[in-house]
Amino acid sequence: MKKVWPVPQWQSQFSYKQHPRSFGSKRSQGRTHAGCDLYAPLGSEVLAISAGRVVSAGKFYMGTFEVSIDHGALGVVRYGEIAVAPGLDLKSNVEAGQVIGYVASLGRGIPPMLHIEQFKGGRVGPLTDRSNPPYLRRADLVDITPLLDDMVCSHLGGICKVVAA
Amino acid sequence: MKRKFIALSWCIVLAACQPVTTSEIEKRTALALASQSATETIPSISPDQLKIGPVNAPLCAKPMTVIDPEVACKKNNCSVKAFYSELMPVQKNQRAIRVSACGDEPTPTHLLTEREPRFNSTAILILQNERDGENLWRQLQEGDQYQIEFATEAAEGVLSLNPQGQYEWAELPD
Repeated sequence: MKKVWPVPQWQSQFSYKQHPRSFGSKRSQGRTHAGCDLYAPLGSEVLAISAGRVVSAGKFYMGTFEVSIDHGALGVVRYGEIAVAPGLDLKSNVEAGQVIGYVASLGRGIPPMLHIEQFKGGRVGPLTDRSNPPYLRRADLVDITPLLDDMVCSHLGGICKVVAA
Repeated sequence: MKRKFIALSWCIVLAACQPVTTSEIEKRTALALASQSATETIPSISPDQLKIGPVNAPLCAKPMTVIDPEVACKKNNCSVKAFYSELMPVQKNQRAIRVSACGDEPTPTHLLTEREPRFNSTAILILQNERDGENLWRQLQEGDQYQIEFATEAAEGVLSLNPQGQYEWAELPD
């Protein structure tokens, strides 16, 4: 399966394995970060990591949007804190590497980023589930770090140590 | 002077005794029925009411479903911006937060909504039609002000009412 790093303009010095960007980073009220944050310049392209089908899209955080894509064997990946690309609709089919959105502004001096989550248990229903602490996500949420690790070396031309924990 | 007073009195009596036409009765009945069903409470959400604003004179907030947008927005002010999205026309069966004086006479009332048109979505879970239960909002108090924390798709946000009577919305870090 062809896999594509989701943010070509990712600022790799900000590792997705370090707090506060990493999966599992502590948030307020005992909540835990359900994905990884990839910092990138405002307006950077966000690409589908593989082929798939859009299963949900809409408002997400601080006025930004999310799009969730069923990537088959990779599960459902939620791409958050973006502006959704024009023409992308619910049930759209996407190709690996297709532009699905652009890194959006969060305001208040927060660095722009792609927030990315992965759900791999084949469950259905809304991805956010407030009754399921500490991530407050659907029970089939998984740590997306290994998937990012799998892709990052080829993105960086074989140099992987900059993202070591 | 006396004659003038008697004439005026008769005018008032006659006006008050004017027979109400059938069409007027129908119109009034229709309006009354429409008013009753313009919004509906949502029994599946708990708590069903929270407070916002000054602790000594709070307003009460209730989640509602808008059944008749036209009548609902005649009875309530729908043009109050509370969240991030620009105001959009209220739609039938859209959820809203009705904010009113606490007590039997719910006035003045604000009908707070949030909806973006492209995907017809909102990040505020209590305003999503498929959501219910006990985890969608909770009461906060900051000094002498009541605030409401709403669960969102990404994290949480806090709605407060400033001394100028404007709503302020701030989302916590995701």
